[in-house]
Amino acid sequence: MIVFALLSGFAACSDDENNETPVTPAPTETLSFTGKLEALPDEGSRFEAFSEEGIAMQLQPTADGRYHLLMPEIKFVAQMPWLSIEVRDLQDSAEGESIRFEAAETIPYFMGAPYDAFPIANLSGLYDAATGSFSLAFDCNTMLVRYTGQR
Amino acid sequence: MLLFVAFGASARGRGTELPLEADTTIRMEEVVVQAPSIKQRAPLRQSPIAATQLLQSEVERLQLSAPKEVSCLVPNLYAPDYGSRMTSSIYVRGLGARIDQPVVGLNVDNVPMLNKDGYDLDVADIERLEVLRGPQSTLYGRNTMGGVINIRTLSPLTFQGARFLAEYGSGNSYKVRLSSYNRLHNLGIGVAANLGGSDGLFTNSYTGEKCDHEIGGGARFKVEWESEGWFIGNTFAASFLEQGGYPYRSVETGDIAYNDPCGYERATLSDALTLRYSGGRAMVESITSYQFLDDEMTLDQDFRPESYFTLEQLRREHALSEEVVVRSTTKSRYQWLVGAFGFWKGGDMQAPVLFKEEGIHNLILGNIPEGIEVDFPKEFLLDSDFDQLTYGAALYHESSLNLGRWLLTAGLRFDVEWARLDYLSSTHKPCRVNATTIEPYALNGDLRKRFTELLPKLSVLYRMGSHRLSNLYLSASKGYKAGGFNTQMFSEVLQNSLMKKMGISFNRQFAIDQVVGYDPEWSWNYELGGHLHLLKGDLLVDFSLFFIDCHDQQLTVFPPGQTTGRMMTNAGRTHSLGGELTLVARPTGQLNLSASYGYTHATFREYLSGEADYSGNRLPYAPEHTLAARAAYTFPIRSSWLERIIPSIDLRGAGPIAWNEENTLSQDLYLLGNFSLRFEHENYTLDLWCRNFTNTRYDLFYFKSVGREFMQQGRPRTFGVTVTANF
Repeated sequence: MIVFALLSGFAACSDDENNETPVTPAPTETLSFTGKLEALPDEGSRFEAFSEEGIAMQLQPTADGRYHLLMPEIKFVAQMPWLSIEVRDLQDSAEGESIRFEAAETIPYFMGAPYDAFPIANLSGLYDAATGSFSLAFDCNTMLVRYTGQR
Repeated sequence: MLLFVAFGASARGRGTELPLEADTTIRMEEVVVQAPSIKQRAPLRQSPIAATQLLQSEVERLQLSAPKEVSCLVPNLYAPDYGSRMTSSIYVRGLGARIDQPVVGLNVDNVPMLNKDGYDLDVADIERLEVLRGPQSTLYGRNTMGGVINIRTLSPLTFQGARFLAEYGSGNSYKVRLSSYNRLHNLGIGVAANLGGSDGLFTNSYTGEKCDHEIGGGARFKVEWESEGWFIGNTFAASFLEQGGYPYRSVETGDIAYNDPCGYERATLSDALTLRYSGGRAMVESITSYQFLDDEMTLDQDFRPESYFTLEQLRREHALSEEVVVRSTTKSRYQWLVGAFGFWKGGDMQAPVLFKEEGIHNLILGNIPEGIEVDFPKEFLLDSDFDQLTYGAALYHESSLNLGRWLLTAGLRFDVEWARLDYLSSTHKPCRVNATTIEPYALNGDLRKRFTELLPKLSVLYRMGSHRLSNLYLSASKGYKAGGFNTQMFSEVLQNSLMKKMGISFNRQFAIDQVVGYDPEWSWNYELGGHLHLLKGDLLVDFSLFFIDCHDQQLTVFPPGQTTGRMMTNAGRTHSLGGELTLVARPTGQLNLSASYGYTHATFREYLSGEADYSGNRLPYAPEHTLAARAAYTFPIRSSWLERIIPSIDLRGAGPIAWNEENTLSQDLYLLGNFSLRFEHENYTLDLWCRNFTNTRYDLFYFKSVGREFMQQGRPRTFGVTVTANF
């Protein structure tokens, strides 16, 4: 009887395991977004606000489960040319297919080398797999840069 | 004889009898026996067109041998001589073009010149030169939105003999011309050859040598046959040219000083076959032409002593055209003309741009933001190869109805054109940006466009006076300038592409066809004019008042929100309002006076350049006034070796001319005086001349390159002597 109860318990545990929602792994392909970029000056900034539609962004997975944020055409102040910038090795803290990342400070990459001229601070990004939306925000060079895009 | 012929020609043209009082002497302007163009039913002064016609004697007394030389002589026509002979920017009534397609067509012996880079050529033995102002697109088609220049050369069927010309002048300039015209029964053969050159007038202070030297020549072989209503003619022509050119001086330093070579070389061939049959009721003419052009332009593109960048443009082009025109020749009140035209133009072009050390540093590396490491070779070549193909066809019709003193004319043309550009642009050396090496790469593709145009015209002419030699007319006509692809804009394409490979973009919205391609520009011309025959022919007055509404003007602009990276666009609209007046007077048998004046107020109605709004500003490069005046007095010398001495003086001028869309820089109105003392005999002449005898200093052209301003000065005072002989 006890054995039956124990076996039932095991079976129940097994049944419970079998009845749990399966864990969906994070995306393994590059995700591409198109959306709007806005840059707002901090107080005391000498730069002006600007915005631009149709800006592309990508999240590219790495072999070790992190992500590179690829920004093929981005600028942080209106007077800059558009640069191809990467933020590398972002740690995903979300569960499931969504992706969330943060970085207090990071040096972006330009053409394969660190680009110290424009350090990025307070970086946060969220890809919502359910809606396909991607939002991004960070500080750079006295500007607050925000991006909202859609897959 | 001339009087009879003139009346005969006029009567044939109008289909009505011309009343003539027996005891009235009427002096007619000189006309030629050779038939006018098949598209021209009546003499120009009997037609609803603002036109200037210069016959052989006047052409020779004015020493004209190239289309540009009628600049300012023809009211509101300005053809500045700058750069090289590849540059033929002709402005008429405020309309003009520096890039690609012209607004004025050029026909030599009824053959349309299909490439304006061949417009600036010396033509020997001009029998007649006509400039028709206002859109001529209904009958002449593409690129005649401002007008048409028609040049007819001597025919061996109407002139026989040998001709010789030799000229020497300032700057060690010289010209030699030899021609022979012979007729045997119904067959005529004419041969003409010319050679000329100059050491130049302007010095490049960097090299210490004259930069605008040139040598060139040409030959023409004409065979013509006519019999019983048939005419068959073939004209073969060839030319060559080698010149330095580009005497551009820096506004900042006042000097012409550049270190890399500049020059232009050109070779042309053409052959045209004309078949014409004049029957009882109609005349049919077919003109088939082949044109070949091979040229090479070399430029120190920065025009300064430093090594920024150089440009070469090597082109080879073939063109074919065929036109068939049928015109009624009955004496009925209703007359008609129908025509069909087709052309094919194909060629290839190479346009390498070589960036040199200082150019790389300032033009490429200077655009790199701070903190980025770049490794560039000392010289960097951006190479471009193009294959261009343009072909088109047109059908047109013109009807005219004579109702007593009234002449009503209507015409319509349907024009369709295809343009194609295959491009291959490439780099040849690697460069490095930070940790990324950009290997040599190529950018290739093809662009295509198709255009269709309907080109109507309407006019009403009223003949006045007892002999109906004076008239007034009203007309409305549409003209257009063809669309296509501006290969010079590929420098923008390549620069953008290379910078993008380097991870830097200045122009996000970058579509090559939008940067390089452009659509046709078109305009409506409304005109009131007249040709007056006064004082029994001692005073001829031509006048016109016009309004031109030009749409879809072809411009280079910056894309919205950008301050770099130009593109072609049809973004402009302009208005031109003005008038023209020409007087020819012969108060005595020995004194000839002529004057012409043109006024054009041409402004942008719409022009957003991407940097600024230029609406309301004057169009650059088009003068507000043009004027010319000439007086010649004939002293008869009753001698076996000399018949006349003719001193003459003429003034020509233009201005003010705005140099930029901002209208912040301009050339004031300038006047040039020319003097000539001519000794004439029936068989020879000796001409002593001085051009710009006041040595007026004036500028012909302004532009900016790499942030610096440049001008080209007009020619200073020159002297010379010209000898001609006819046998």
